[in-house]
Amino acid sequence: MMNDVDNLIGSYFDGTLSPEQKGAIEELLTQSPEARQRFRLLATIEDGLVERALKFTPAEIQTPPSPPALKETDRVLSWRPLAAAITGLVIGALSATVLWAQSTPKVPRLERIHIPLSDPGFEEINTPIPTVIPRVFNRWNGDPSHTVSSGDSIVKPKEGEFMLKMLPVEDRKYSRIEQIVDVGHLVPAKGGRITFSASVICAGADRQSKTILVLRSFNMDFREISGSREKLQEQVTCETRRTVFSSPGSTEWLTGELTMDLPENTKTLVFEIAAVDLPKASSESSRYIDDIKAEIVVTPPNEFQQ
Amino acid sequence: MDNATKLGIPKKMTDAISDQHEQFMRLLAKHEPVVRAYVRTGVYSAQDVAEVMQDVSVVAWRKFDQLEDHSGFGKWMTMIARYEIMKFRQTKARDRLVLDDEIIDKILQEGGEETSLREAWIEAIEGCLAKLPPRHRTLLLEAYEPGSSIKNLAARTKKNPNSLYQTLHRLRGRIANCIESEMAYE
Repeated sequence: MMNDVDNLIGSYFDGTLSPEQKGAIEELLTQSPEARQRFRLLATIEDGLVERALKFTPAEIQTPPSPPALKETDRVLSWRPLAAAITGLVIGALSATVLWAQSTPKVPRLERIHIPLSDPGFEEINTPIPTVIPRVFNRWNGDPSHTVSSGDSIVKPKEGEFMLKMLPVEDRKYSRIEQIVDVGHLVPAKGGRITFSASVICAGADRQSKTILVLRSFNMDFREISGSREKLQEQVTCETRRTVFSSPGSTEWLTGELTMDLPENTKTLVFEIAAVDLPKASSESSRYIDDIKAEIVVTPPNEFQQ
Repeated sequence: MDNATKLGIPKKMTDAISDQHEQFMRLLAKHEPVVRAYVRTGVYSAQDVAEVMQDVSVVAWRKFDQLEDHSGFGKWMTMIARYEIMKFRQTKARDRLVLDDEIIDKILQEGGEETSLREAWIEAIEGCLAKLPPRHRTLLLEAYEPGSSIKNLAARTKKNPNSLYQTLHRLRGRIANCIESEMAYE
């Protein structure tokens, strides 16, 4: 009997419930307090397994050896940043780099590990950008802003159908967003070099404006990041920033990129984008962000030895 | 000059991130797993859990100064979660094959009284998972691996997707039975 209940509840959580099964489970849950408690227990297990899988160490995974020409895994990156921990293991150099490396064997092949930022192109329009406190992992935190499509603006997204429109914050010169990413299982033992890029466009600006990319690394677990900037500053192991200047009247997307050497034992990265001197809401000028990318370039061991 | 100053963040803002916030974050970190498991009861997918938890956290932070007894934080946050789950379901869960609101509300209502029990369940998961044979444990965790899909996992393990679903149901059932038996000994 319990197997039947478990199967019905399991199908519900798997998203494979048929309409007939839906009727059966609803009847069961209406009538049986024991079934309702079993439902809550299985929901707790569901959530527990999701969390436990995040700690699933690479050593536990029987990953097949990477092919010579590595390419991105066919897995769909999800909202969990630790997808990187798994996915990153089977991601190798970009094809061009590999081909080049194969034809010139004296040059070490640079392995690139994609960092799966959550919603890097702001395509998940149902995901609101929340306020910065309290910080929540695996998604964009920050000041109020909108995801907009090309239909909402004269500006076309850099990629996909949507982009982020930064909104001014009262009594503040800037507006910002940030994302905290767990990279503990991604960063090679001896560190590596990370690149972080974002595209910016300032539509209708009548003066030069700037957008700042900031990247900070931490040795602390992402769960320990409490949201206190003061505390974070004490814990930062490395910080780099890059300013993207937009000229008045600019109508082109500008891509800013920063590079930073990752300290050993980096567990957490915080990606931040700050739009400075945003125009008032009534202004026709707007700042848009799109197409955010990040990857770790693994430094070959012999490079460290030289 | 610290970065907040460099970026032009007013001192009053940094001051506002104060002891109260630290206290809130500590309580949130402690009780978040129990509340999240509760939220999982009322929403359709793990992705929805993240979205609702975001709203729950924001509401809890906004109302934190109204909470007089911090020892009741978990239960208080669970109450907020119940409201946010139902709100979420009204706005975003209509187009899915979801269970009836009345049933979910009943489940949530009863679950609101089980905070301690749920905490015990969560604590028991790891031990019960460890009791599974390694290949079953690996299979189960791979199914929950971020970005994983049953289709891909079935192809990789050379199983039929339907039979893989059945296997996963059985394994979760075994963990549930294990947890219940652990509770019976306490």
